[in-house]
Amino acid sequence: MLSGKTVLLTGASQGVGRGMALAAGAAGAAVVITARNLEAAEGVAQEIRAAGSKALALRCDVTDRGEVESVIAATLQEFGKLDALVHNATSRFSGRGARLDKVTDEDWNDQVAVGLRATFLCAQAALPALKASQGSFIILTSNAGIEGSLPLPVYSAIKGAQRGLTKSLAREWGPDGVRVNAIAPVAFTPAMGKFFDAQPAMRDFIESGAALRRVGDPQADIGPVLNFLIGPDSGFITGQTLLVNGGATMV
Amino acid sequence: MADMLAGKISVVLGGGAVGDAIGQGLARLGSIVFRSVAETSGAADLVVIPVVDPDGLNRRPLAEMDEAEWIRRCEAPLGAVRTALQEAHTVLTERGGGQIVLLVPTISMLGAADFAAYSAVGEGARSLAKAAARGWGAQGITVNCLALTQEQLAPNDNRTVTERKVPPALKTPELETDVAGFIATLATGPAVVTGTTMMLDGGDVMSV
Repeated sequence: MLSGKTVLLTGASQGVGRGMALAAGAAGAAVVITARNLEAAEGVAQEIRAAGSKALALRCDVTDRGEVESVIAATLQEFGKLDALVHNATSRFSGRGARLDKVTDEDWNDQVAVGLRATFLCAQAALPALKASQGSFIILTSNAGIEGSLPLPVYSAIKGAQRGLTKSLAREWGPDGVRVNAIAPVAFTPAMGKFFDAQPAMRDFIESGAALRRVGDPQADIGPVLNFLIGPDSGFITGQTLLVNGGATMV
Repeated sequence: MADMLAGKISVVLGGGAVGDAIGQGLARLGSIVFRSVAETSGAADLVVIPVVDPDGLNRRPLAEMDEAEWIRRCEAPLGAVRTALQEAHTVLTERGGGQIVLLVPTISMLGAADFAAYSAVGEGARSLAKAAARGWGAQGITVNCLALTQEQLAPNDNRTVTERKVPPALKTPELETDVAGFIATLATGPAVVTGTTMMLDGGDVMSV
């Protein structure tokens, strides 16, 4: 399905990013896995190569313009093109809960850097290659950006902002043949696992809130939706947020 | 109606000419109006936060911005919304609750070419407002967004964008009379609406 396509993902060494990377590789794409932790990224790349697809692991701090530009350059050098950049990385403070009146500058600034500045840097750096490939820019957003989250107001703001960015960039880049979409997943991640370990009742709460009564799997449930968005069957879809959440939220 | 807001203290945080017009409208309805939290005695009943970035009304392709301009157009204004909400929480809590009203642009919901930074601010502000509404409801604070068109937010800017060609169903609401009056209704009616976005555009956008 994605044979001949090259996909670069940020924050892809674990969780939803890793699952999407594995799914893209399984669909035949050449996959560039970027993360701050190169060793973990290399582990994902090895899994993809073991399954028979091409993969490249690169270290990248997405808040650093030079590093973002250099991973895109390395991708073009290795695979000759870039068909999709998937901005999935989130701040290490994303899950730090605090009601809005208790939010500090530290909470705010790091999430803004990884959530917003990095989206800007990735979008800007990828644009020439995406124009050339008639490719896609894809942002991982969240239900928090649609519904608002009491304990995660900063995350809500960032994820909502990314949806606004998705819509306007889709209109801006549409005439050039570049599509821009967002995915709002609910899927099991290591962070969610820790959360469930600490608060076992939350697993039931989250699962029972979904029409399908389960939390998604990054590779099996979210990956195919990413593959659809970067593949040939979604060429008329742009500016949209796809909610891949088992029916947790319906808009 | 002239004394609808009598005894109410309102704060309109920023927003330039848009904030001025709303403030004048609220004053006409009887409110004492301040343009910053520092001017108050530390308490207020109503806080209006216009999410208006005059700089963002100029078309600017994302590809042409440098990092500093991105921060100025996107991150700084969204950060200002966060601090404005936190200030609002402080002064409203002093009075045992009240209303927060954000004025947001409809174009951030619809998307518009060369407005990516401002769209991010608008949609980020709406999500932040929802999180605030959820967090502060138990304290008697409501948080709602009123969405306005570019014609309302930047009437004198001939570079503003109109992506839509269908005329609104009603006349476009005036800031000082219609929009301020609607805010007064929200501030004096039963506190039963929070976390919502209402289109104060006279029936222009109906897709959301």
